[in-house]
Amino acid sequence: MDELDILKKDWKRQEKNLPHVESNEIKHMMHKKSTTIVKWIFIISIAEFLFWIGIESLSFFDNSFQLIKDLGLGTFYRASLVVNYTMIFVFIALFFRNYKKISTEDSIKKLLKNIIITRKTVKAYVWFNIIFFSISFLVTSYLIIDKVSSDEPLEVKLFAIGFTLVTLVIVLILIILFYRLLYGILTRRLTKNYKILKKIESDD
Amino acid sequence: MKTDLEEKFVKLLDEHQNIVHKICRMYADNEAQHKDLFQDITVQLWKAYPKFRGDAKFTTWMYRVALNTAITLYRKKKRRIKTTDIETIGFKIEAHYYDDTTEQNLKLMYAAVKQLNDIDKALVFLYLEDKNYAEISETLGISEVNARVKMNRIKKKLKTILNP
Repeated sequence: MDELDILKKDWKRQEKNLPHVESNEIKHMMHKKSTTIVKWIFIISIAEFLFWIGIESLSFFDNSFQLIKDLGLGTFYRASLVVNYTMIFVFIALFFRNYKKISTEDSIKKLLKNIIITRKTVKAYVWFNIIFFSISFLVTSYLIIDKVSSDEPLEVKLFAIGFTLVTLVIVLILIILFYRLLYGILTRRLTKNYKILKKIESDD
Repeated sequence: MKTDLEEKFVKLLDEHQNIVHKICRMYADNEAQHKDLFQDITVQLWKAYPKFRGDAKFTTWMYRVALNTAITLYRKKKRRIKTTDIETIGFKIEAHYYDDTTEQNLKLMYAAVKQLNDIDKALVFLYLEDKNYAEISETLGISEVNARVKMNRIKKKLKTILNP
C-alpha cells in the first residue's frame, strides 16, 4: 500500500470531523454577493473601455480640432476617428463574446483559458490605444514644433523634439508599469495555474 | 417555480456539502477562509444550477464548479494567520487508529499536501475522493495519460518527504 492510499483511508475517516452548515444558512449564503476575480476583471475592463472612450471624446469638446485643421491634418484626423471607433466596437464585441464563454462548468484548464483570453482582448485594446495615442502625439507634436519654431535655430527645434520624445517615453513607462502591476495582481494566480496545466501536457 | 428550484438546490447541497467542506480544507488556510470559500462556492453553485441539466451526476457537476471556484475565482482575503490555524482547521488525526509512525507520517503527508500547488492539490483531492483517472482528467482538462504521469510524480514526491 503506498503513502497516498494510507492517506486516502484517513481522508475518509476525516469526514465525520467536517463542519455542517444548516439548510437555512445555505439559503442565506446562496443569495449573498461574491466578488470573484472574474467580476473584478469585468469591472476593470469596462473601466478601461470607458477611460479610453472618454479620452477620445474629450478631443471633440476642446479646441484641438481647429488646431488639427490648421496643421492640415483634418482628413487624417477624421480617418483616424473612423478607424478608432471601429476598433472600439470590434474590441467590445470580442470582449463580450469571450466573457460569455466563461463558465464554471468547464474543465479547470478551459475555464482558465477563457478568462485569460478575455483579459487578453482588453490588453490588446489597451495596446492599440497606447500605440495609436503615441503616433498621434508624435505626429501632432512634430507639426506644432515645426510650425511654432520655424524661425528658431535648429538647436531649439531639436531640443523641443527631444523633450517631446522624453515626455512620451516617461508617460509610456508609467502606463506600462501601472498595467503590469494591475494585471499582475489580477491574473498572477490564473496564469500560474494555466502554465502548470500546460506543462503537465508537454512533460511527456 | 424559482422557490421549487431553490428548495431542490438547498436539499442537494445540504446532502452533499461534505464535498465542499473537503475542498475548503484543501484550499483554505484558516477557519475564516474556510467559511469565505464555502460561501463563494455556494454562490457559484447556485448561479450555475439553472444550467445543470441533470444528465450528469449532481456530485460530478458539483466537484467541477466547486474546484473551479476554489482554484480560479476565489480571492483569498489577507488575514493574519495564527500558526495554530492550519492544524486546528486541518486534519485531526485520531491517534487511537494508528501506531506512532503512521500517525507521524500522516501528519507529514497532510502538511506536504497543503504545500502543493493549486493544480496538484486538485489532483490529489480527486484521487483521495476515489475518482478514476477518466474523471480526474476531464475535470482538469488534461489527458488521462498525463493525469496518471503527474499523479505518479506526486506520489514519488510524497514518498521522498516521508523517507528522506
